[in-house]
Amino acid sequence: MTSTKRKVTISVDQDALTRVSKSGKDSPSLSAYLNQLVLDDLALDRQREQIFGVVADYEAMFGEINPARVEHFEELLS
Amino acid sequence: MTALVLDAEALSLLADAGARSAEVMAAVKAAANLGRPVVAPTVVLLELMRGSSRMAAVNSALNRSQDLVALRHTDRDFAGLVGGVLPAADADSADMVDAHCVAATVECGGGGGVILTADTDDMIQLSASYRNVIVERV
Repeated sequence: MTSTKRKVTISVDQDALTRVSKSGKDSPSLSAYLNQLVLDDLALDRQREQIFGVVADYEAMFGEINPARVEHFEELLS
Repeated sequence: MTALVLDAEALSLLADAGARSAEVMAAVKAAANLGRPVVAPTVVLLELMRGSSRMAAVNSALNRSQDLVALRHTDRDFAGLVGGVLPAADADSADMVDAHCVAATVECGGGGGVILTADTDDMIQLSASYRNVIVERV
């Protein structure tokens, strides 16, 4: 297995950071919190890749997914 | 960040990726376009266990693409959240699985998101207290 390094930029919600700070957590906890954010971000990237793969397979078989329905869900999820 | 949450039927249709899956595919494509998480409470798998072929399709899909859906396991914190959904909707444990979907939307979506379900009536009742939770029929 080969390991790769990748630069990841994450945005930390100020309110969340304040909550961690006010809860009296020490720096290792804050570090764990930030590490978890990075892991969550990477997991989301992997999920997007796999969804796009499944969608591409589906569209190859059944044709393009109705763009209006995709737009509808994008509005709901925005 | 809002989340897309799948109930058992929606998860089954995603795994099947067949002619009836258009609505689920549109929803997951939208979520991926926006970078929103697609989540299913692990407990929905219990409902699929009743139909072995449906469970086999889900297992096969998740074996091929392990990150296709983020499964939210029920731990102590999450159980507490689910426990709050039921009384808020004056529901009982018969709606336990659907309550997990509502709780997953509230938790993973930072308070809001979309639930894809075959049973909109129950889900709308359970999510009535959470104004940022939207229920869509699959």
